[in-house]
Amino acid sequence: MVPLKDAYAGAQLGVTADLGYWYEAPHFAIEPRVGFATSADTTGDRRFYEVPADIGIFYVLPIGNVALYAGGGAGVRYLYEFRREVVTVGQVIRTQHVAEREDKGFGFSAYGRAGVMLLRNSSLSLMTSLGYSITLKTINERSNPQAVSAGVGLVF
Amino acid sequence: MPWLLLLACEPVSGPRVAPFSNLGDGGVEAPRCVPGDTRACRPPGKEGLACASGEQRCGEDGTWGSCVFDELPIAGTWVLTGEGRREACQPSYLDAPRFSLAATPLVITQTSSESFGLASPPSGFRMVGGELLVRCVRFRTIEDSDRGAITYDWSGEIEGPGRIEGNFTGSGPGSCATRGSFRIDY
Repeated sequence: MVPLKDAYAGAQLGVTADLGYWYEAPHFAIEPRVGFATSADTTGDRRFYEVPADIGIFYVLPIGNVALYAGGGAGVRYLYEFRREVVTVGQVIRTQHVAEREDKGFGFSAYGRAGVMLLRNSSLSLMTSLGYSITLKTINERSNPQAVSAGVGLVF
Repeated sequence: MPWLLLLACEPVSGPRVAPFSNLGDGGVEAPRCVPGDTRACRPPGKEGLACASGEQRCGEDGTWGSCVFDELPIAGTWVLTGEGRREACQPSYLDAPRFSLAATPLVITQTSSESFGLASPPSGFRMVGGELLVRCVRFRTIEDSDRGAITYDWSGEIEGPGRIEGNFTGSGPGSCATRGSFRIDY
């Protein structure tokens, strides 16, 4: 995942792991999901972790042994972040110091995701995805953290 | 460039009247001095200000002369730097065991021999109570910020031409309490 606009502690990159149940009907699928995401650098000045629990609905377009899908969902996320950063107080008379800031909490979230499912006729299918998510939460004075993500999954 | 101000027996201008008399309480003549001796003195009304010291010299007639002190100009463009600490803040990440301080250059005009102020205050910023007492410099700054007002009280001494050093205390934003030391070059 790639945080946007200084979200997720300002980390440049995160890694995610999701576990979901993909229930597929002829033209749509429903997916309840839980996951875990954390900063790629878990020891640096900008660290976070996130636990999403959500449910999504997707339009599925089968094309032979592959299928395109697109959809979105909503849920709740627990978010923690740590930042070590320079804090400036004042504009004319400015003080600066290095502060360590922690914040955490729950927020409602929404996401969109699209991708391709490969090897659909096999017992083990491959799923690729591109997604966007937003969490309605102010954390460390940054509102509504957003991220884009790309991933590969297995469907069995 | 500093200049030397010799205070005469009559007021020179406004409150800078500082003739020192040899007469003690009740008009009793004070002990005569040894010609050529010097002693520290302070202008009347400024006895409690350590940085308002001058020098008195004993004249040939055995009496103490006027209190003489350097009067240094204070106007100019101030470059303010310093360091300090801040505590009791909410949110707590504003607490700083040590911070560095710097300011936008401040253009100062001297409005009288004992007062000064900002020539053109930046938006949301003001200086009040600028006071110059011989070498003592005191002023207050108040700055509006999105977290609330930040007030600093500055108290320093002119340490030389174009240089003021001293300490400050402050409050804000919010519940923050601040103190530290500063230097002004101008």
